[in-house]
Amino acid sequence: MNTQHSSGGWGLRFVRSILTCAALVVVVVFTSSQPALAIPAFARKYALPCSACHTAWPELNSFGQAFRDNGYQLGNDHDSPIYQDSGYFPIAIRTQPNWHRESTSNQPIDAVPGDPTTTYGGKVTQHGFDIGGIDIWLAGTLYKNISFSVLPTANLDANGINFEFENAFFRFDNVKSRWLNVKVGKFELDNMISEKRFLFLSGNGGSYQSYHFVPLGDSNDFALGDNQLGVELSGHSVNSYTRYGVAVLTSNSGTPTLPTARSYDTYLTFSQGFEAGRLGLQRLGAYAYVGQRPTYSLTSGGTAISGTGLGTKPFYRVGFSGDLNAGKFEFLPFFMHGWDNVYLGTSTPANQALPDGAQAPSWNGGFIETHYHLTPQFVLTQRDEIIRMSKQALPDNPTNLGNINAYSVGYRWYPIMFSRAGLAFHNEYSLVKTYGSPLTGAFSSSVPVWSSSAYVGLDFAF
Amino acid sequence: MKLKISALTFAFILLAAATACFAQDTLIHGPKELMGHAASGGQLYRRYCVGCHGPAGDGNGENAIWIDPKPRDFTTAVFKCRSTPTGMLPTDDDLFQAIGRGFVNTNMPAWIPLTNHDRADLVAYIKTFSPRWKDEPPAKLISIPAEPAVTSTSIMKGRELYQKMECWKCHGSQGHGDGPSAATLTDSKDNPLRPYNFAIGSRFKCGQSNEDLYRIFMTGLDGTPMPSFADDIKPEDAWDLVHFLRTLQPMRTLETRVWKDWTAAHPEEAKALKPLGPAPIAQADDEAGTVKQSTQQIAAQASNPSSGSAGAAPVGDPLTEKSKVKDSFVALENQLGLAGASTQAAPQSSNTAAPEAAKTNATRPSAAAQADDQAGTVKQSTQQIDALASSSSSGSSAALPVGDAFAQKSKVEGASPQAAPQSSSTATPKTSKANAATPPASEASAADTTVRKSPLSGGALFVQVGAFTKEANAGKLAESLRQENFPAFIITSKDGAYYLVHVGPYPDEKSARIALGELGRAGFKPFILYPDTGGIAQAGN
Repeated sequence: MNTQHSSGGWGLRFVRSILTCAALVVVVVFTSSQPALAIPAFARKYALPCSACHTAWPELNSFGQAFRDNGYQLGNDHDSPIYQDSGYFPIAIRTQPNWHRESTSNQPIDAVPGDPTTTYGGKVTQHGFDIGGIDIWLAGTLYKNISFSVLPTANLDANGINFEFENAFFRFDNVKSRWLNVKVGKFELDNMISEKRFLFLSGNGGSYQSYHFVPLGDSNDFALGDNQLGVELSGHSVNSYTRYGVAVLTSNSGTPTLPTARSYDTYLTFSQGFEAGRLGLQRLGAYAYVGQRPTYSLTSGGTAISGTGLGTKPFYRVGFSGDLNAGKFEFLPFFMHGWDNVYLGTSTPANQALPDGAQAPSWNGGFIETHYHLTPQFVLTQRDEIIRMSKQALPDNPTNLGNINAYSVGYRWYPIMFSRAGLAFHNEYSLVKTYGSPLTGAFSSSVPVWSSSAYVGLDFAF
Repeated sequence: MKLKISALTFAFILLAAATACFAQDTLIHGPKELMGHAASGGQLYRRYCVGCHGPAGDGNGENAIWIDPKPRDFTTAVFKCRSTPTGMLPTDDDLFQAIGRGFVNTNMPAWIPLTNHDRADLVAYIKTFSPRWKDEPPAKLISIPAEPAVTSTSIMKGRELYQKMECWKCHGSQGHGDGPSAATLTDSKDNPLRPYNFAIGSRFKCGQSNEDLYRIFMTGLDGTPMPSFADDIKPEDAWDLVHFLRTLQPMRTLETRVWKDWTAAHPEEAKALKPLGPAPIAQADDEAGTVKQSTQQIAAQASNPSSGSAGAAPVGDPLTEKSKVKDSFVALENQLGLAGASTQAAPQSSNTAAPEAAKTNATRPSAAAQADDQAGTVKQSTQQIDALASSSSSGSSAALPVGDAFAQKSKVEGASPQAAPQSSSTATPKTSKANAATPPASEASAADTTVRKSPLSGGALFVQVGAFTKEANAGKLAESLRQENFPAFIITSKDGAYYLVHVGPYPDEKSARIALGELGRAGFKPFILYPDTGGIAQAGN
């Protein structure tokens, strides 16, 4: 008990601050736009309906995947913009006006506003009309076999509008053959199940927990769902049933500034599709992300010098995923095993001593997402996700601290799905249960935090 | 227990009924046989195809207006890529392969990422759009003999065939798709299209192998001007043509290597090869003053792109008749309102007005006769000139030049696509034979021009705006007219001596005269070509 207090005093303060930051990040991420990856600009260019490339936009189907792999080209010898009408401009806009309700239980609330001594665990509920961020996406080909994408996103918040670049890259396609393509810039990792193209929008359902999970108290900022900066080599078969990707990335989780460390991460991915008779196309894939993060920096007058991260420590994420079809049903299974170095797991600078009994945290996570494509213009969605800690970084942490259960259910109806624009009516309910309440005095895994989101909105892209 | 058995029985019956309803619609062969079902294909069609081909399969999807070439109209069941004779339905495998292959230089992508079952289902669904699939028995596949060895002799023979069969008229002398008729080609729905450009090196419309190429010109591309040559050339000759065509492509193929080796080993012979394309234009070079043709020939060709006998006219002696012919030609052109081979076309220069007498039909014959007198070299009567000048329907099959493959194919197919697009595209072998026996008059006229289809066929009216000895000049005029929304195109006379700029077709005289007036006000000296009367009307604004 004493041990818990001695380490817990330091640890809890740290963890609490981390949690606060994490909560802020979550709020920012969840209230900001979902990256738009349905691109009417392509539909306009090639005169194809959204459904040609998307099972239900923005999720890609096999044809859309092949199109993307070919560098946004159909290969009909008319891909270069020189063949387009001079009035054509490769731009798409997407946003989501919506009404949503967010509710979170067991939150520290001051019984007397402004008096932190009266804090208790209570529920926070918010709701109202809102708007998702506005994506203004330019993507296409500069010339045959040279493609690009630039996605500035305008996030709307109480402080006004702030822009960020969700992605910005060039891609040299079909270098020698389709088996070698080179992409440089900021881009989405070649995840077989793309978080940028999925069918959930709400605060709790609008991201994969597994893609962003780090143990409580961990200083690692990596998230599989974040776009990264670097270079990617990739290749694919003619129908894109066979795909591979190798990426070398700076260790800054896609932040377009000087990297925090002078180190690089590596991402490997491979997937193989195969036909299963009338069931349809099945695809299985595996991935591995091996990276490093600094634990401290050079300082000047006690202040860290940017880009001088030292004491880098490793971490990895490995797993497999699938895209299984059975007629109108589509199942997306995903599994991840995560491991962080003990210094990262305990947020301990590598030039300092580790807490007693500290160990490298590890965990397993995964989900199964189900889509039922009633028609090309109506899809029912559902997802179950769990994350379970295998090893806690600190021996005093409860074994289930940080464990997550998440559920989502919803549907999307596309009353408009032409080759010029698309509109979806989106309705979703998501629920997340996290073990580890940030209540004053203790981190109690016996007090789970329930977060729920109800979302009704219009998702349009033009 | 009893209830359980009943439930099982009921479930079984339901399953059987569902299976029966889900009957096989099409069978795709290949490494593995696939059954396609129209019921499943409907959803896929809606997802992938409806935007272009339309809900009714008639090629009128929401995007059709933006697409060139236009989407296929499945209701006619006319398909380019087949392994069956021209006019016949394709096989299911043909459609299956076409969906997976896509069509280069069109908006039809290669749907190869779709599963084989999906593509088979789509084939089954596409077949529901036309009753032909129910009414007509499956066609027999054409036989493709084994490909002979690629030799320089084979390539040389293919080269000769390319010239003889007049492939160059559409595909150009270098295979660039820029032959003299290229700009005039339309599909069976009168939509303009371009012939294949071998120099691009892309895959062909219906495949990329030598066998695919062989199949293309032995089956023809139904619905387009590309005819089937199955009745005109022997299989071994077809392979020779394949081998030659491969040398026109920029890729490193066996054929290009063999041909390169041969030309390197036989530089003198290679140098002595006659250039492909039209016969040398000896008489059309105004600047050089090397006119070789007699007046009536020129007059006939200049005013009559589809003359029935112009091709048979004798060629005069350029050295002795040069100046006289040129003078008389200019005079006759003025009389006929052509205002010269190069002057008529340019609005600015057309101020050199034709004689007033030539502005009406009534005065034209005498004007022509006057020209005859003045030149003293005109050998034909005005009636002959009339006949030649109007000639769209006056030509006879007897005037068909021997070996004019286009004309012959027109007869075989009954194809006069512009005049009757549906008839050519939907023709069955039976009707094709009937047409071959009694070719429409328009086909005969087509035989005498470099365009496969007579622009004067089918009662449609055209307006001639200019005549040039240089294609580039004709092209400039045609382009400027198109920019003014005139449906302008170029055709050439039989031996390629003149490039005539026409606009049209116009369904009746009223609309033709409206165009005539607009062109006249723009400074041109146009005239209407009457297919029925053979008359030529001068612009009479």
